[in-house]
Amino acid sequence: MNRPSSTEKRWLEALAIASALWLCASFAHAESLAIIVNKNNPNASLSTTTVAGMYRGETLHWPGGDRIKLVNREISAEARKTFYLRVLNAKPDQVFYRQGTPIPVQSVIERSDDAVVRFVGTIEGAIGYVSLSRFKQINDGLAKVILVIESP
Amino acid sequence: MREHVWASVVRETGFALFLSCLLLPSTLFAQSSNKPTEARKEESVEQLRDQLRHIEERHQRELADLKDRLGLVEKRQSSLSDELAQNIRVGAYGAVAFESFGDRRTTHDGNFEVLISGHFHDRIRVYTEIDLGLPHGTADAEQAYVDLLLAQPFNLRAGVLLIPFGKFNLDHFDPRRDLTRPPSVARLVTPTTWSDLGFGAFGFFPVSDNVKATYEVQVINGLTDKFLAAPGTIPDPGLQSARTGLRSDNNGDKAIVGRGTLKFFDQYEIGFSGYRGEYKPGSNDLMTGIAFDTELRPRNITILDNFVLRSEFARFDIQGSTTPSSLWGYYIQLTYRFWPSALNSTILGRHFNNPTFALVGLYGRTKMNTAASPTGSQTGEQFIIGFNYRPVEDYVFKAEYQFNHGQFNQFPSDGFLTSIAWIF
Repeated sequence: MNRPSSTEKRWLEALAIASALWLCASFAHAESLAIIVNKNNPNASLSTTTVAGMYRGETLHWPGGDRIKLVNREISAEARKTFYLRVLNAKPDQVFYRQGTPIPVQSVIERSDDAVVRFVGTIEGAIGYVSLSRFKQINDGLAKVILVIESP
Repeated sequence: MREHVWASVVRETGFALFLSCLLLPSTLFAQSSNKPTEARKEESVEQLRDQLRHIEERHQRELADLKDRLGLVEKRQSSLSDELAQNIRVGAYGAVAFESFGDRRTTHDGNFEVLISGHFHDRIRVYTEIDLGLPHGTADAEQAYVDLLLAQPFNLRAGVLLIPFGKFNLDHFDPRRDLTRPPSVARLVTPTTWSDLGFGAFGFFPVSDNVKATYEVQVINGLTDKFLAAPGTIPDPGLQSARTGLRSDNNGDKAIVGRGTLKFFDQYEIGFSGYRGEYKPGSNDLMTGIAFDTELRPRNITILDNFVLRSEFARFDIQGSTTPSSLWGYYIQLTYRFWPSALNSTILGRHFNNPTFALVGLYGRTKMNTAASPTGSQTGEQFIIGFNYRPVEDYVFKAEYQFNHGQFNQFPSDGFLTSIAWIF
């Protein structure tokens, strides 16, 4: 049996390193998401379907009657990609419209996890999504987790 | 000599003493006077440090106070802007089209519509869409209604209503569509844009995690008999002229129209619509309509991710009329959205977050059964291929070519159309 040449060895090593890097990158992207609401929100938990219904504009009010205020991230944000894929089953650039109008379902766009937490902590009736690990670092007690979307 | 030596010794001793007197005290005094100076310096340094600490503490307090105030202002500002954004929204959409068909002069056409929506209560919202009538000169309300939001499955709507008959009529907005003109079935059979005065109910039911149902039912003035040919005149093809034009009912009989949908996995939507109403004054003759529509957006299948398939069938049967006695038609439209990343650094992509191209293909067919035709019917067929460029979702450039055949068609000949539509 022929022993692999040094060139082949190098190729194998490079392949192994590339695979390891790819795996690391995949795991790095697959981060758990926390769906958060204001600490005064009386709901203790929500289902994925319920949250999806809110972001699709199908559910307009909280069970208590307050209007839902949606917080979104910009299209290019990793959190938004994960949220749209895992919760809304949609691409991050998909726009949901109010039936019979050209008006998109309204949401506030925030450009960082910190800003989302700040907004949700300030506005009662708001709901948003952030990386779970980041939320644990920055939560000042004004927002609470209502659903966790686990990494696959 | 001895005296001279003594004198010299005495002089030198004196000089030494003199020097000692000069130097020693200064040395002694210097030691004793340096000690209190250093102590004072240390005291001064301590005082300075204290002062600095006080200043720092004061500044910290002031900074914290400022931060609190700023936070409060931000909260108020945020709440206010949020409330404003939620409560009032004024916008508009418009389109300008260039048409070049073989049987007529080229022309520019367009429309401009003002949108006002808002909540004046958490449970009451209004929506108004006014077509300013450009370039034809007649402003019309396409929609102007108020919603009373009671519960997810049951809400009330009243005013000038967009008629829930087929999906195209509900999604007729130029900037949201992929083609410049509606398909023939949505123009000749379903008289898009179709709105009328009335009231109704609508709601949403989650049937299961993956199935959702919606409904919308309206009681309206209904279609009229204006589409019928008066003796010696040629009517407009289809039901466009049967719309009331928001005038009072022509026969006192109210029409009922409704649409229900089922949505599976948030990807596949099917809709069923029905219409029933008398249309002539002083007659019980009925006009009945049915429509069936689908919209499929496959997900999780990589190769199909960027495709959207839409289709719609509509049919109207008209009692007491032979010209026409019935009309029907359908269309199927396939849209493929894509964006080559190589264009990101070009002028088409450089300044935009999410630009897209779209290729669109549409096939449609329409038929009208009428005694006015020697064969008893007129048919129409259309095939459209189009291309879109959307630098952002709310602005679209469209170009398309239409192949049209038959007498019952929106356009009797082939032609090229291009348009720009926008919404804000």
